[in-house]
Amino acid sequence: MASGKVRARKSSLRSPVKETGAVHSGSQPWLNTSNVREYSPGHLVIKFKSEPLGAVRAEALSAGPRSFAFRPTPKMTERVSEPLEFLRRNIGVKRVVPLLASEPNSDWVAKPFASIRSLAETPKGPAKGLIFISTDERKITPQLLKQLQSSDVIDFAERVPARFLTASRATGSKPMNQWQLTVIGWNNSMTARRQRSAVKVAVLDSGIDLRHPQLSTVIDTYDHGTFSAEDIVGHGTHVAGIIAAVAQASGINGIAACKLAVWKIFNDRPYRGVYYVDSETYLRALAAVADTDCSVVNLSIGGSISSQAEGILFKRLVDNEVLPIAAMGNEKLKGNPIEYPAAHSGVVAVGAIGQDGKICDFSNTGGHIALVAPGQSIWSTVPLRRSKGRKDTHYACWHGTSMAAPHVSGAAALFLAKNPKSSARVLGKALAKGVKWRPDMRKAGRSVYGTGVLYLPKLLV
Amino acid sequence: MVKLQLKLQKGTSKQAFANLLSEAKRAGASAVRPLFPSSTDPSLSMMYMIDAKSASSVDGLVKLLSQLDAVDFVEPEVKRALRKGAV
Repeated sequence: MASGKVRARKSSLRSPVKETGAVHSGSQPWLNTSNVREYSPGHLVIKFKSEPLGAVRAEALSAGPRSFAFRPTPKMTERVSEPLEFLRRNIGVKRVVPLLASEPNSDWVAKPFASIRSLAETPKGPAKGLIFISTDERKITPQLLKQLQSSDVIDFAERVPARFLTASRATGSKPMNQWQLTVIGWNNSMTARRQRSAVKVAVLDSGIDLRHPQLSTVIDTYDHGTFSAEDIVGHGTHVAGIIAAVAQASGINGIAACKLAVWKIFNDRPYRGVYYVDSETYLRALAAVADTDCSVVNLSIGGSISSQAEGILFKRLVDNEVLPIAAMGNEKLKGNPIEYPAAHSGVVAVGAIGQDGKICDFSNTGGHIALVAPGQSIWSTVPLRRSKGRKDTHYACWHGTSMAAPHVSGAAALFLAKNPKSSARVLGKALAKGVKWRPDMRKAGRSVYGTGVLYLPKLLV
Repeated sequence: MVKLQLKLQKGTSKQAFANLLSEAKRAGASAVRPLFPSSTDPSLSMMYMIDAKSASSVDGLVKLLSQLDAVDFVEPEVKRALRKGAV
């Protein structure tokens, strides 16, 4: 067990990363990222809200015969046409087609009324109102997306991510659905997430696999003290991937282009099947983080007993402008205890939601919850080698508030890249405001969802 | 190994600390060491880690040491686990 001061060891990272470099640059050229596109060039997708489409249909039906071969008039389609007209005038769209068309040749450019009729007639469902737009790649700018997003008839407007197109390449990896990136609006925040920054996020966890090709370039320091460097559990590697995995031809997308400072605070032996932090290493790592240039510390850990020593160290973190972000805990069905460090003052406590947008049944609730983020079926990186108790290698799909917290840590890094002079307090407030609140959350309330679901377009305005 | 965390009161004299060490040893401590040995932070430099000989001696140590004027607080080591759900 480590008895000396926790040391940041930059140099210890270089050699192992370089040693494995040949693996992903030479023998597996598909991992070469130099020519990888993040988006399908020149393609946009827009989703219209159901209300304006419903209005077109209702007006047409009330105006004409009930055969539903209705003939929309320019006046009826004005609201739906307006954003498309805006695109035609400003960027010269080549093709505008509904995803689900009720009739062939329903390109809006060629046949505007037929196109809108198609949209309005599409049966209700998640794909209703979706339109694909082809245009000149150079005309698609963040400002354009922002302008479209501000229209009151548009639900969302985003570029078509290229990762879906490359997923079919024969890479041998499992299909990974990062559903959560859509939920948090990551796809709409291209400028912010491309911005490479000096922002550093500390990760106190089970360690990290330095050889993982999606992580090797983002790890600034790794201190494993006297423990082995290996991430036996894989938890730290998973958390790190959610925050900062570098996009490649296959694999996953991390939230931010930031650097990571990693401390291994678990030893490699579970106690009665549960991995607990090594308390001494943990407390020393908390003290060390406060003395570094890290702006955020991710803590995907928890326990129900409060600790005064831990409380002192969290206060010191906040005083030193490091924002702690912690998991709410997964014990909702086991008495929903208040868990620490999430419940310490100044900590951003994060609950987990699933693909349905609702709070996960395991996710703890309480007055101290700040916000919620995706925490169910989350694909991320795990170590390349198997270990006792972990069969997954390279990538794994896990859930827990452990997976929700790093989404917020990654979002915090994006915010700081854009607002580098922001204090920890300002960052904490921005995270609480950078959310989406749905009317159906009201019944459950603030103690379940905090201020809402993490939403990058609101955080990064 | 079972451990405890202890913080001394500000201005604790060497004599009071020596007394604390002997009391701790008597109650079942096998080692007492600074948690942040090279820290100049006044708050951190007052914090110590105590190794207890056995789990059964923890309660006795907490009860005894918390009564001493030199002690700000003493508590069992912080227990934190991963928050990943079952896969």
